[in-house]
Amino acid sequence: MPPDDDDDLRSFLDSELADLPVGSAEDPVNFVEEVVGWLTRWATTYDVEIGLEKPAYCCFVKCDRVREVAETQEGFSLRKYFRDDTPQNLLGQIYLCSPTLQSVFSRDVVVTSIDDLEKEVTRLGLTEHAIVVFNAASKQAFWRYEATAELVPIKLDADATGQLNSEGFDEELTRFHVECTATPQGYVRPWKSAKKLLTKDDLELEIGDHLCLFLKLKHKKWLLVTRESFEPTGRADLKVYFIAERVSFFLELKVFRAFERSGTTVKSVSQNETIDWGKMGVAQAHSYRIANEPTGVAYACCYDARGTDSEIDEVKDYAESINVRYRRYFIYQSAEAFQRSFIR
Amino acid sequence: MKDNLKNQRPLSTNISEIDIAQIRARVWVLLAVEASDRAGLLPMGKTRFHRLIFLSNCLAELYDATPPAKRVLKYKRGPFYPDVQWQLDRLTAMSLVRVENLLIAEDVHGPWMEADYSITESGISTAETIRAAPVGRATGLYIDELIFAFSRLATRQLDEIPLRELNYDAPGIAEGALITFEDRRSNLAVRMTSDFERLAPKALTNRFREKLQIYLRYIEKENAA
Repeated sequence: MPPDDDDDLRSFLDSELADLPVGSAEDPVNFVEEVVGWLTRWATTYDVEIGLEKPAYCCFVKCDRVREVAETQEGFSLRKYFRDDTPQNLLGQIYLCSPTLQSVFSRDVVVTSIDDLEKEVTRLGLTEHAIVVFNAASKQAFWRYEATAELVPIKLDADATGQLNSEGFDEELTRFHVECTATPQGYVRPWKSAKKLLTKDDLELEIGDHLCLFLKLKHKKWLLVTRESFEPTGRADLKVYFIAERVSFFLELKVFRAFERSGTTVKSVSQNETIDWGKMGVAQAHSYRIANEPTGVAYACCYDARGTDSEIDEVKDYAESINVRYRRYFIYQSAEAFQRSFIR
Repeated sequence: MKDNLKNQRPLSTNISEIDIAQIRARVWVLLAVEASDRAGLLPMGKTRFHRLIFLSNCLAELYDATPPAKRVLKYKRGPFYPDVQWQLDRLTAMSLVRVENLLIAEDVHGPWMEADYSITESGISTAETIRAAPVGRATGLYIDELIFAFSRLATRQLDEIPLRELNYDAPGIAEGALITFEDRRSNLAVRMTSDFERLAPKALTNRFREKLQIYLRYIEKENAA
């Protein structure tokens, strides 16, 4: 039956908006979010002390046709109602999972480290799959959604960091940059060759993946984060809705490059091309906003890999003229260069 | 032998085989079975499959999709579509869908046939081909979102949720009544999603996927209450 009044429905909506998946049906980032949510429930339900002799690790592997994968592997058995029941006997096992954990198969695995678990995943021939590894001793999970990506840590009590409101968003974007994109060692691993100023080819996409999970996993209760959100004027890289305040931010992500790949050759990017690219990002962010909320907030986040940390006034001025929040985050070629940037 | 071949007529085209509604329905059913495989829902029993098709009918309007049947009888065993069953059997005969655990038995409602359905390799590759075509892409997008949203619901409630769906469980809709989705204004599922949008416009305007997911969660919560 429908609720008696709008207040009931509104409060139902507020709780559900926070629980919506980030991407479309099969987006691997949904799997990471789903598993981290499940592990958070497990860690909250069972306050387990991990003795040195007890298994402390487990691993979840996303499988697109899980039954078929489980049938070709030895020793895996179906874990019925795994999604509903949050069973206590979690550790020391490897889990083959459908994307939403509706169907899960498991078997025992003896490992003493996360490296061992990664080796086991490789031995099973599942390296290409998204995985989430859990260390119950530290209550920390690590995720990656493709073979070449690094394992990214996430604390399971992330929501304890408190409510993120729209005023604190800029600070959170800076925190993301420091953790993920500022240096070659950041979790996004932005460079193909820092020395040659060559970034990864799909760096915008990777930054988008990491940023949406960074926001969603840290602030699940407070945000609706939608990746590649379809707007009437195009596809916004990210839409962030602050549930309590009922405001939306639209984000367009761009990378400023010194060089870019064109077929098999690499060519340098001119200053004019960079200016055009930056203005394009600003204009896109603006167009997503006006299609939805003309008075809303639009961000153009530009990750600068040109090798020279200098502002681009043309882009900055253009963004100011149409009230878009332009933010430039410089990608350093080494951790030392990042540290030296504080010595002014 | 040669004479026999010469005298053979080319395979005749059965008019019912090129009926566009039939093809649409078959595509819909095949895509639903294939998406259920990726969502970890296979093998799926016949009863649950018809209930899932019912949910796909309720919410198709959100995506401007044309479902295989816009009318269903409120049947004693839950929603049941004879046409969809015919398509399932047909896909099985074409080796695109596999049927197992056939069981003919009698229960409180009378005689009944239950079976589990899954997809075959040929079914997967046919579904991929269909999804690459424009009409298959649009239908496939909707079917994927619906089935993955369904697979995010509690396993123990999956069979019950379609029976608590607002159109199916509406007051005054007795067993044997006809439920139709021909008029958008009378579709209670679509009306409820409009209410979601009215109360959270900045979050849900133009957000079909999110409205679909929230609607199923709404029914799940109502069922659990």
